[in-house]
Amino acid sequence: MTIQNKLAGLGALSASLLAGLPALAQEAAAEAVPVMDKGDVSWMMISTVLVLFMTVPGLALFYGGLVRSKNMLSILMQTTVIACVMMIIWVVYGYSASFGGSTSPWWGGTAKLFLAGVTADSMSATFSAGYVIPEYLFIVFQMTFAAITPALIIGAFAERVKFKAVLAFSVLWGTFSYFPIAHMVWDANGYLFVKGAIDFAGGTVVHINAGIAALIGCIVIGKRVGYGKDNMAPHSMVMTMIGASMLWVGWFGFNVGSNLEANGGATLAMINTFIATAAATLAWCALEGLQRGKASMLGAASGMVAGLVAITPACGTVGPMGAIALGVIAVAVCYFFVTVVKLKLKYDDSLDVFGIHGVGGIIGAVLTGVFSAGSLGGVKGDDYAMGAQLWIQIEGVLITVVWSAVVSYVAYKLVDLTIGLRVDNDTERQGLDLISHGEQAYHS
Amino acid sequence: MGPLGAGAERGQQVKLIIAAIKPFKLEEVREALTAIGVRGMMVTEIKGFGSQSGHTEIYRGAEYAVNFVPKIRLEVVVSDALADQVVSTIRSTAKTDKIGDGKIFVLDVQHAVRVRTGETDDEAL
Repeated sequence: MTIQNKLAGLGALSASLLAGLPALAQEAAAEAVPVMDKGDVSWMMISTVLVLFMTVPGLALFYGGLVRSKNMLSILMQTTVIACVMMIIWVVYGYSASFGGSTSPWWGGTAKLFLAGVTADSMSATFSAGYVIPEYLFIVFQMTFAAITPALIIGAFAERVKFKAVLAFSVLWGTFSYFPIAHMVWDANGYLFVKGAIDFAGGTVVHINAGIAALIGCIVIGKRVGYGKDNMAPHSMVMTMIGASMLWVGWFGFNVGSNLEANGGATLAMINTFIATAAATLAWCALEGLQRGKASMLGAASGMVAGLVAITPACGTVGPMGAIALGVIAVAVCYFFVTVVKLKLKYDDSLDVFGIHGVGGIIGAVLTGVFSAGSLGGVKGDDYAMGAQLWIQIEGVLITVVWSAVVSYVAYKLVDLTIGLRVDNDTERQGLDLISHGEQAYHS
Repeated sequence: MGPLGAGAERGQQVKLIIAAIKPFKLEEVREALTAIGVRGMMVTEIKGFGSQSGHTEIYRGAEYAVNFVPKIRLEVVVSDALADQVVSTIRSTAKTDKIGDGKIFVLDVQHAVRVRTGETDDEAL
């Protein structure tokens, strides 16, 4: 999702230059006028609302079903309100900080604060030279990514945090981790973009970024009261299945929309988003079947999300057979993390945000470097240097991990010192719904 | 004279039979009891444990012991004459031969009254 929004400006600039150079005008104008294709625009508008659908209600229900019934509304509220807060700060300064046109490798600058200068006639570049989409569309498409990412994090410390603290953390983390990393990876001047890191739809920006913040969060905040003793089984696997399925549907907006155009490349992302996910779901069920004789609905939903996460950075450059391999490998590692590593290291990543988004994201980002190779079914040609690309991918992962970890840690501490991160024990026992929101999800 | 009325006017003694059974056996038990002439029963969804003592559920890596398992509490009030047959019918229909089939308790009922007519004891059933 490379992009600079300069094409429109360039178009206007060249037009005015050409006016002064009539001799060249005819020849050059033919290639300089950027094309806005209504098919692309329609697809991108649909993609944008599909990504919104991933968050509300997809992610909210997926997470909501996994908590105890006394905390159902707290999850729905945190997800919904975080998304709204991020949308507002995105248009106020987030878009500028990520894609404001600065040549800095680390952030987008202040040129587009409050969306300064953007009108319905402003255009953003796509991957095809000469083809553009309206800048407003690019802004809202990217906005839905900024909205879902902090909401992913909350699963790690579900059932025990203050509502205000979650919102304050999301603003801090969004500002200092999400916006800069989005710039580094996706902006034409970004540090990792310039290096050639492949992150088609946000494996590093969204999933590793959120997964690491989640891990730091559950360690800083600590375990739930009664962890390892009380029954903390999910209250509704039905909601979780509905939410996971909505995530899968919405993910076509996320992955295929990241192509920015409705063309052949988009269909490659589409088939990969189907196939990797199907393979990953089957892999999780198979592992459960082998290990304990029963395949569970939660296992299938977990495999589904792990597969979606893993294919996210890769969906534009690997082939369908590579997607199958990627889905299966990612699940094997995620399964190991959520069933073995988490218990061994004793951190309470309540809804396995690190175990699935962090770990699945890392596997996906690294293996993108492998399965993009033409010899393994990817789109890269004979001149593709797998070793070099692999190192760039790993570098991207490391930078994201360290950046997100540092920003998260500082942000959690700041919020803890001011608002306080955690509710008191009584509130936690009674449930956040009644105490934090004054209502209950279910009445018997 | 007892607190509930003159004992001499009472009909035949009645018994309360309480059974905890497996939920999926309820319909079979209801049919069998109706067939032997039981004309009413009360049913409650309960949780509990006996020698079956719960089961384990696994969610990703987390294992939870579920100590209280869902059961059906069935209450039947019948005349003394029918009580033994009710017990044996519940036993034969609710039985799966697996642990957790449930328990049956038989209690004496002091008095029974039909709300609509005021009939008492076995006539009230």
